[in-house]
Amino acid sequence: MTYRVPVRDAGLVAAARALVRRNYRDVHAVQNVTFHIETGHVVGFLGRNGAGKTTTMKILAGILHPTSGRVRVLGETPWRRHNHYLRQIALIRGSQPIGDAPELTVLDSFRYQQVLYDVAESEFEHNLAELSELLDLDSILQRQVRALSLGERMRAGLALALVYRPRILFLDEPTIGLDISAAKLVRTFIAEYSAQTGATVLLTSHSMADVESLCPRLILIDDGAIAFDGRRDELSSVFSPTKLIRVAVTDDDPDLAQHGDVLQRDGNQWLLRVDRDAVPATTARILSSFAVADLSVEEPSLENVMDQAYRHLRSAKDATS
Amino acid sequence: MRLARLLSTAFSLSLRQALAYRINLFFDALLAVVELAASLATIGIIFAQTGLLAGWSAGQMLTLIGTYSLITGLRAAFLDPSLGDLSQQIRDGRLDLYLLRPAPTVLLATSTRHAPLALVQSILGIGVIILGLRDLAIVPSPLAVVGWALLTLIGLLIGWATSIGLASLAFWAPRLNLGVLHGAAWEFGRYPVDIYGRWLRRLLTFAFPVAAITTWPAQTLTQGPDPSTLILAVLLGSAFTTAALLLWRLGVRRYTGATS
Amino acid sequence: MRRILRLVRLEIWRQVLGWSGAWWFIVTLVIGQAVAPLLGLFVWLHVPVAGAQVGSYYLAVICVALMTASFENHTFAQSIYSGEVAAALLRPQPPVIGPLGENLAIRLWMIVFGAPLIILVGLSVGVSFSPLALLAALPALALAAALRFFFVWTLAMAAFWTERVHAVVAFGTVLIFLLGGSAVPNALLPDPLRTIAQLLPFRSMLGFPAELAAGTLTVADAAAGYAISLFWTAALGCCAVGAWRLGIRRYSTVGA
Repeated sequence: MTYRVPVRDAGLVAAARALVRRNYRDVHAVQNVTFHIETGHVVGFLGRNGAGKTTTMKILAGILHPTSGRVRVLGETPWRRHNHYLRQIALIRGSQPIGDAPELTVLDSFRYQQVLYDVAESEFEHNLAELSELLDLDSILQRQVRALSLGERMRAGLALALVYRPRILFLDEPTIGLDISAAKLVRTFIAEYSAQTGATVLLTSHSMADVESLCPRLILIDDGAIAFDGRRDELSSVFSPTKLIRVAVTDDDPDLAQHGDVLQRDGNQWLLRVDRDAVPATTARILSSFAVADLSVEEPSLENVMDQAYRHLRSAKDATS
Repeated sequence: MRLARLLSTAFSLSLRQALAYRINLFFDALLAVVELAASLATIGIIFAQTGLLAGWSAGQMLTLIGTYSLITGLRAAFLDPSLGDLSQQIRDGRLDLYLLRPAPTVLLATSTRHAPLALVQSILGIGVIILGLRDLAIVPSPLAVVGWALLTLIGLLIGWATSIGLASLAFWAPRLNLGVLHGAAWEFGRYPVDIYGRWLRRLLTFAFPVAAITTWPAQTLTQGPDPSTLILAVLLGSAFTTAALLLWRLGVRRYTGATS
Repeated sequence: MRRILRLVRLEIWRQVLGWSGAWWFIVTLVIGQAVAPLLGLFVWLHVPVAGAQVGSYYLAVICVALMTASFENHTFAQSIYSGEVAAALLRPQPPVIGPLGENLAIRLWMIVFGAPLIILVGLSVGVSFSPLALLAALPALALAAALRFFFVWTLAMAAFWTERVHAVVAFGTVLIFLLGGSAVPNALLPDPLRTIAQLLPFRSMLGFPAELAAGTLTVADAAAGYAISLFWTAALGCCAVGAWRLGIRRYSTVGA
């Protein structure tokens, strides 16, 4: 997906020149992105800001049409936006879960969805009741959308999108800005919904908690291309072939830095990062060299893995450019 | 049809919301009455000083102002609330929401929000038309009424098409907001096109057809239907609607290919 | 006093710069203000009784309208709704300076962008102005500028009490339109209405300077008009101060 953007040097002369003759630069927002997602899977899209996640999601939903390549969702071409395709998908943005009509009450918005998506009355009542209970909507049904807090809006937005039982959910940062309990509620709900209805879920997020609890499969997009596509637990072995050793020693002034990267030190509690293969040897060395009160070997957190992945990718990019 | 149901649902929801605030209801109704009264007072004063205004009598002017009120009320009730926001929606990407709904995007973007209270203006307008007909002491033939109704609908359609056309420019020049221009040009419909100079009259018949919006319906009602006027109105209506929808399509195509 | 003038100049300068980026919006404001007098011009050109000076009169009305335009229901009332007025309250300057500076800056830009329209209308319609008449009209123009600002600003303070400030100001606009000389030149109003309109402030805001500039008033009428303008300027100025005090008291107890 290539955009042409106007470019211009700084300064007044350049600005004046730009009025007469515009220079353009091609921005390859998304290039060579190929993947395949089966029904009922929950997949996380990760990447830094500007990597191309949202662009990819917009292409899959049908908002953008790609400059080249083939896209098939549910057997359809998304950007043709045929009604029967649109009736099977839902896009929910965490930053703006309910898009319009802020003066309507939540219940009124539901009624509008019912007419818009042609949901039969009995099915509508059933879905509404179920979603109300799962997302705890009873207290907010009669309130105006504009009077809701972000957490309430997110819950209402999810319910509004699911009342017509879409087969595919596109979630763009669904827990952004939510407090911990609200975020947990959303995550649990999404997981249950997908498990119960077999809906396919594509999720972009910067929150590791989201990714860890929801996405068995991850696609990492960097600079418009796919950097990783596979199971979540494989991610650490690809980008972070390391493990963490947490050790508490009682020596005075011990120096563990020679045994691995020191990630954290808190008094006599140390957190070291060590290559996987070197773990057995390193633990043996530490146990023999120091008076160890406690030692444990951990998998690096997803956050650490992602951090390493981004750094790895950036240095790879710097090396080739 | 499902779309009709969608529009009527949106309307009834807006009506419910509007009726919930009685003070606003009072304010808006009062303002509509006052503004119409000012127009009528102006016409009264004009015709105290002269018998005919560019060939139009007082009664004919009343039917014109009544038609203007009727159409403006319909436009303000069903189109303005969504259209006023359209350029902004294109600019901040809210259009995505409408793109992904299973209904024509152009309809959703231009008529999801309604302001039912503006219909007060329309109702008053019909009253003024009746006053005008009484003043002229004529009862229009059924054909004249049908012609009037048809021309009024075409006028509303042209109003919609020109609004969309102008708003579509936001796809190319996001900072441009031409809604005020549209509103100002619309005001020229308050008077018969005959009072404007020749070139302005042509402009107001073909470039921005306020003539079609108010002058022709009023003429049809008071003087009877004129086939050439009707044909011209239908042609203009089709041309403007087609052009506006084409512009809109092009704009959406651009929007879906080159946004960030 | 010198400090106040300096503050006003500073605010005007700040706002002029701030509004320079919105040139397209200013053009739409110009058009918005010019439409009603323009329509009045077209209408009265067809009525012989209006006299030969009707073209000059309405051109003058358009100029006055642009130079006295006030949008406090959009600028000032918005700052109440958004809470920005609280920041203005805490500044060490009289609270009128903010809205006044913005008002004058917008008017300045409107004159700049309205000039082509004025020239166009002037060339299309036969107009004639005598320099003496224009000179006589200038003080009236200054009073009109102050009057309209006070009027709209006071109405905009309805924002302290209601969400419908646009409707309130719309009422005011209708009054200026009907009684101020836009819909009908004052001289052509039927008898009881003409005298009433002369006594009300609306003509002083719009039609009076225009009538002076077009040279259609006798010396006696001009003097009477000036007396009325001066009276209303003082009166509406007091209203503005009073409304502000009431509004702020409510705002500080109830909030936005």
